[in-house]
Amino acid sequence: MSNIMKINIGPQHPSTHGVLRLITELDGEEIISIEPVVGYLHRGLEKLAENRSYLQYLPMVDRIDYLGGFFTSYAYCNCVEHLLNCVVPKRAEYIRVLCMELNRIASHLLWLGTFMLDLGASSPLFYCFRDREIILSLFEELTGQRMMYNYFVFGGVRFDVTNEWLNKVSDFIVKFPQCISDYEKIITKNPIFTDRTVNKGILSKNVALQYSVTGPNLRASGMDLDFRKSNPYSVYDKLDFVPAVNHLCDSYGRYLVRIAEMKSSVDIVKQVVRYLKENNGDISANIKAINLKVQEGEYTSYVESSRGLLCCYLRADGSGKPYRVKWRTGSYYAVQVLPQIAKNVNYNDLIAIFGSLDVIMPEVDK
Amino acid sequence: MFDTSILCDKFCVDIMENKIVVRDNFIEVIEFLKNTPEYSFDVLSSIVAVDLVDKIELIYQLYSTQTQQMCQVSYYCENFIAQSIVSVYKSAYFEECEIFDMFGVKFENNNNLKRLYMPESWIGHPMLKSYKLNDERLAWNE
Repeated sequence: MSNIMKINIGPQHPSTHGVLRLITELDGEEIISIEPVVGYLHRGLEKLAENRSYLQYLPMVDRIDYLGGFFTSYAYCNCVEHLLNCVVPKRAEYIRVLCMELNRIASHLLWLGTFMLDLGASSPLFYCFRDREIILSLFEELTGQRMMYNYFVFGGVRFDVTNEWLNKVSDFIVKFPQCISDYEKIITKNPIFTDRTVNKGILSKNVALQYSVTGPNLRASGMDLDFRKSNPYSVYDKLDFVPAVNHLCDSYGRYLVRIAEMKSSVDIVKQVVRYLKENNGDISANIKAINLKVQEGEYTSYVESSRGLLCCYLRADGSGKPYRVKWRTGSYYAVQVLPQIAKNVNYNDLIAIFGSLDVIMPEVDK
Repeated sequence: MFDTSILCDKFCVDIMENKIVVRDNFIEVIEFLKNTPEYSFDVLSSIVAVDLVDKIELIYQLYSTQTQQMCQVSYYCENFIAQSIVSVYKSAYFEECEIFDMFGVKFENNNNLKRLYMPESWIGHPMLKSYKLNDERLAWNE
């Protein structure tokens, strides 16, 4: 008699960080196969672009990755600026990098908190949200919004940063390394945590490359690929930082990479704040965004977002609306690789492995 | 653009400003770009489909982790039929399902092609330029 049992997980499951459905086949408690079903959060963001002007589409792109709105904004603005042959002032680029790096820290903090919650530890969530709150308040002061910023505009940024605000950022990054070591004291050597992550969810370098996994998940598999270093965009070539890499290939390695990445983001923020305090300048190239017409052409921008490589493909046909917009996001590929790395594992490890990949569903469904 | 002379010697391709346009032997070109040590485009970044009204343009964006170069391979598909590259890059599976869902392009040799985002019963392919918006037939749950 066959003992194969089919179990449906989701779409409304608290640990799927959105609405993901996994159709799993189990033999006892061992997973034989997984079939991810996506599309529950599909909002047609690519189609919506084709019926809106370039400016009207700008506030929407923040919604693609709601934990990393600055990355998607940057990717879209970068495409439009490239097609307009517009040079972004240096100060604006530094402000953008500052926002993106703080956003990366906030995003990793939310990941850390919810990942620990998936594993049954509820207190790290409060620590992480406490520190993330400081970043969100900084963003609110700068942009007026806590999550959907709509702060980057074509040719620069909407508002300049003040010295007072920069001082607050400096205060935060002075205190934050201590917070990271606090998390590490609770988590890194905790046997309850290591039992559920060490040697669980092995993602080898070859499989990761075959499935186009990028970002921290790939760097935890021993591949030193960080687009901020390998193909520098914005002003990353002028900044000094070390991308986090390790060779553990498991859930624990992915945790270590994200912790190290928060530390390297702090280094970048320090350098950027110093630059912004010492140099003044324009914050926007003053492009008239209303009735903006973009000449015919196509361009793909790429950004190392907190969840991997983020690409925005834009094709313009000379009219006031984009002809085609396509988003390539990191989570899309992380969902696809899940059946490979969660094969033949115990059912109760599935959520731990999935949590370690840092998938958010709006980015997959677009 | 990187040095394409080795590719041009072997295959008949058009080199544009920022992409390589392939007319035939598409799978062979993709395999060649992946497996030739000079190129070694080992990561498929994404597949972009663009509806040009009379045909669909498929743009394959590749990345090489060894040379840090990017490459765009373009292929025009006329009868909504294209060849699957799942055997070359496994990550192409979701992309091909998405393009089938949104544009109606059928990929030969992709054994499990199905709609990725829209329900199976959905009528039409939403990303086509000819798709009618606010179609009454598509009122949800009717």
